[in-house]
Amino acid sequence: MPCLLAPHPGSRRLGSFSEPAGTFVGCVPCWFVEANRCGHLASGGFILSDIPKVILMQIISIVQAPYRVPTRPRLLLAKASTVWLWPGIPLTERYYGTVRPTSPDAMRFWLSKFLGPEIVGRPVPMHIAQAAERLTSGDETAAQRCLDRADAATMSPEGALLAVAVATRLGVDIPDMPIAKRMPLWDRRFVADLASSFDRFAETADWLDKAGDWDPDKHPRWPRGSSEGRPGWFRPGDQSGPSVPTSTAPDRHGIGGNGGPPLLDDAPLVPAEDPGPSSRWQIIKTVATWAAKRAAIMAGEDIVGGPVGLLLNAAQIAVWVHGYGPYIQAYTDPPQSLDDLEAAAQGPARPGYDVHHIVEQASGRSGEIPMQLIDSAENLVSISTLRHWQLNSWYQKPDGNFLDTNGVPMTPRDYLKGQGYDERRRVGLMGLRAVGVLK
Amino acid sequence: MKLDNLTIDELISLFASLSEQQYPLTLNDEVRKSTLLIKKRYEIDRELRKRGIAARLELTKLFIHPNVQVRVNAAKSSLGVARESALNVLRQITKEDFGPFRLDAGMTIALVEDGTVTPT
Repeated sequence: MPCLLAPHPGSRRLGSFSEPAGTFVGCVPCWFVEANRCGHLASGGFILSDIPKVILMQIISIVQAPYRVPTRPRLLLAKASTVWLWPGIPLTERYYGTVRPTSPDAMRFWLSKFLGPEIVGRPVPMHIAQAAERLTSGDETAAQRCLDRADAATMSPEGALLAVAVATRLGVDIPDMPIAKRMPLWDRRFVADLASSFDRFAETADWLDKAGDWDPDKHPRWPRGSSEGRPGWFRPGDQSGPSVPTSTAPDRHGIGGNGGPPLLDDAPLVPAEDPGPSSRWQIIKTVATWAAKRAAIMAGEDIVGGPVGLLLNAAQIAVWVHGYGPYIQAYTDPPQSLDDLEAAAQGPARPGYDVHHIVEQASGRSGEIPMQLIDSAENLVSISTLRHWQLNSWYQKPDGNFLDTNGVPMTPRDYLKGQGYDERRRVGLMGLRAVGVLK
Repeated sequence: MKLDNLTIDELISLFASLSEQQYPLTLNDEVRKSTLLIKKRYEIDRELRKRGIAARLELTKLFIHPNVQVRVNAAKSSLGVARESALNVLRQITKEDFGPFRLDAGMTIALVEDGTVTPT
């Protein structure tokens, strides 16, 4: 029985082996799968003697290895005039007669979910743009070829976790793809949280899942003995091909038309460029507050690189903010013991942290409290700079808790004037607890 | 503006409005501008005190205001007339807020609970 596989576009040519029925030509993945399926190697005999021993051993070892036929070996699909990212995220939109890619930011956002942050440096959006051009001209096969050329064949470990979670939620098959060998950057809870944001693609995911990756009816080949074309090679498709549903991507341009990122949509809006000193810190504080909230949700998880960098990446926070990462990271620190805070104050200066005086320096300068006590190790703690600013601000603002004899609110600093060291320290420690740095 | 000409509802609305204006200033640690608003707000608080407990209790309507600064301020001003419900509002804020409002709410709870201050 001859075993003739047609070469696939883009496949690697393995070589030719003589056998009684003719010449065998195949590509690496299909050849092994098909050979295993039809049982030529297992039945032994008619081609084995012609194959060099070294190659034969390699073939047998691969064929004998557990192999599962991939259900959908691609993450990027060109179907129904749209480029889709598994499970059913449109990466292109139709604008009148043109298919065009969604915004690069939105595209990178979704791609990085499955392919990891490494995708940022790869020209995948360019390949998607090329595929969009092919789709505009109606050539879905060429579009798929563009997508297959994109460097998007390896899932990140956290992307694989996410794919499992998404597939479970949506009831679709998991893409069978190689996984990068590194530690996952997300924990399970974070992945579960992310997975829920894919629910809105359930309809397209279901459709793509049922449509499958490869529809031979849509990609007919020249039959054996054909005089019109080379047998086994692709021939032009029939005009009356199987119907496919129209894309669920809206045929319009505007807000909501690009399937943009809803994930971590509570993330603060950050300008792409550093706005300068006038509002820079306001943005950093807002991001820090948001990150602290997110970090609290993920508390206790051991995440490579710490949660803040991941959060900033996941939420597509502008690059300039990463420069202020130490301030944001310090702000997300959980409360610590007084001993730890005091010990850290005696260590080297750390970016993102300030040395705070539990009893304020001003009381020493005014002569109310001896400076030896103010500058003593028990009065110094290392705390987040941003939280330090909050505490200072609290001490300086009139507070309804402290009313003077006329019922007018005083600042805590004014209230503490005339009080002894112990009372000031007690309020100071209270402030450290309230601001969230002291256990 | 003559506060004694305003109705209780108008005073409450003004209280909420000043608190909302204070919100971004608190977030950005802008002490000087915040102080001006705080002083204006305490004039309203004093006017409500003049009108009695019922007038002050109207502030509890702001306990469910969507703005956290409004809730903090309303709770702190109501501690003398609705202590437990005001403390509950502040406790909730310490759980939910990760910014400066947590500090304000947490300090108020601590100062009241240990008797450092006695709300009136």
